[in-house]
Amino acid sequence: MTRRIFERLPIFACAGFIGFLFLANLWNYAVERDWPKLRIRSAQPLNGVTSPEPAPWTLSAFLTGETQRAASMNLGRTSPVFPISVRAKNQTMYSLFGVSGAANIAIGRGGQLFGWEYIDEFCSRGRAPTAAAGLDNWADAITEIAAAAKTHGKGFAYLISP
Amino acid sequence: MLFYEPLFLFLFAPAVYLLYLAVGARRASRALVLLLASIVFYSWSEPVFVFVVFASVALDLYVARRIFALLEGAPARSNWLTLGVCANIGVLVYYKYTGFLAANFDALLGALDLGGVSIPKIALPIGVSFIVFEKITYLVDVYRGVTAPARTVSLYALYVFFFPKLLAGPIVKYHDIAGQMEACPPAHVDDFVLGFSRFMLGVIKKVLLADVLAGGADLVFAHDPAELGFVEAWAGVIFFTFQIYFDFSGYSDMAIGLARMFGFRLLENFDEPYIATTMTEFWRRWHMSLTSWIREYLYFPLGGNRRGALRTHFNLWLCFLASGLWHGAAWNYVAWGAYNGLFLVLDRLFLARALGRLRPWEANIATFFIVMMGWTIFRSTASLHQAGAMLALMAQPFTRAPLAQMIPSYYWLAALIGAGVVVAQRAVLSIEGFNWMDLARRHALLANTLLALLFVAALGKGLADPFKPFIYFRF
Repeated sequence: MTRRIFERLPIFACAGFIGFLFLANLWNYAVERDWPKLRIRSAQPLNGVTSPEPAPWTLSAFLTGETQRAASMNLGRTSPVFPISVRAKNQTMYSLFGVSGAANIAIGRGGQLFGWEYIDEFCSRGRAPTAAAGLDNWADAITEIAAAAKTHGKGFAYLISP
Repeated sequence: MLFYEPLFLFLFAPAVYLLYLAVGARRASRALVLLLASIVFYSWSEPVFVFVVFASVALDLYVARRIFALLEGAPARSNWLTLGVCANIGVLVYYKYTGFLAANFDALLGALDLGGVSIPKIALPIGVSFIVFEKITYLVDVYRGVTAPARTVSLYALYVFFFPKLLAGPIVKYHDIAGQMEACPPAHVDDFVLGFSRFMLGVIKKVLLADVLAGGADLVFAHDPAELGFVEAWAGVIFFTFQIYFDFSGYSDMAIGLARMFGFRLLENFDEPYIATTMTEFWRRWHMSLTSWIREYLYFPLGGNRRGALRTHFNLWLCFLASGLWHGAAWNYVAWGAYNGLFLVLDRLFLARALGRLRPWEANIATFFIVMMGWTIFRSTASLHQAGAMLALMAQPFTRAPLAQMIPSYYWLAALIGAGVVVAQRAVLSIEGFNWMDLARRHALLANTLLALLFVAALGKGLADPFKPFIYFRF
């Protein structure tokens, strides 16, 4: 009997894990409005990820399935294990297959990671801003990136092509 | 609500299960919890269509009672049965085939220069094909005297709405589960462990294999065949061949496992189909609940094999044509059904005997090849032209894709794992008395640890990736 329980421990552990996330969801729902600091959340949330929009609880949204989609996505996104899941998945994809697991991250030369947003903003063949203020902001942003690259021991080159 | 999405896993399922345990000894309370949970589950996905199902359930109950009240042989019995079956088929035709029929009628009118018709856009309710087929079994079972009408409305409603099998089967025949619905068994710890392990296995198959392979198959089939080469075309078909197996058998594992957690035992839906050595055997192992439904509720009423060889072959082919159409309202599904029906007939004529003369693994490869060609038609949802172009490409070994390295390595890895599973299933047949479950029992701790690790990985991937619906949710 004891041996059987011992052999089944991994199954019970998984069930316990699901039970924990179930209780965490209930707890988070209970404290969300009045004591948001008491929410159970990851100690290391994902950087640059905005909080999901609350699900629209209206009849028309429910009938079109919008509420259901949003509720399900929000529950996943606010789960305390969401950040570690995303990191683990992306790291696995990168380490094992050398590809980016995140749609917004590109892999450059030497395995360097770049955000597509950054590439589109600073490396695309868009027209340069003409207004003086725009140029200043642009130059400031490039200086900031150059400084960030330098602190990581990397060189930074910014190419302006015709 | 998908079985592996956070809302189901981390809220709905634990809440329902705890409630089911909490109501404990009272059978009526357990049945009520399951019924209400199942209705919430379906209403969440189909908040409008659920009312159509309610109405249809009421009609079934009324019709079944009328059939039961009449003496056997009375013509009115078959009239009532016809009414009940037609009402169910009518729901299916309206929601699933109206757009398809209108589009084809419109194309026909266009070809004859007779103007056209507007094509209605009707959303396909999730699980409608499965619900309708199950409801028909109830009416036919009562008509045949196999079972009495459901004792209460809630009993029949629970049969129809029972959430583990509601959206994509296994197609449960009323007479197979009526006793269990009546008893509504209490959940035992062994049921929980066996059911939850089976559920975990299903999640692993779906998330770690089927969803990865889906990306590869989608990547290939999204391209115009002119942009593909020999390797890419084969890759797409191989990916889909394993994807559909792991997707649907994974779903079936989850459904069977969930039902078992509540103490219910559903019949198996898959039995290592890719080790089949003939197409007839393949269809005895693939989507067994549909094949069995077709045999009992379509093939036998058509006369089965009692009306001569020619009629038997025609019946067989017609049943598979219907099965193809059941899978989807598009010509590629019809063609896929006709293709499978043809090979079933050929099996009876000579193919099974010819394959029987080969070594088992050779016959297995030949059957697998026939199945894969079928999946090419099935997956070519763009048009039959796409299917033809893909099949042609697969026969031209020197055709290269204009874009090099189109297929990332992880799709190949997933396909390799899929192939490894099938090869292992075939290889162990040569070991007398071998059974995977016995092996798992002998090394229970190791097997359960591996299962748990893969399950956690699947959960993580499921959370991190956008959800991919099960293939059979479309049918």
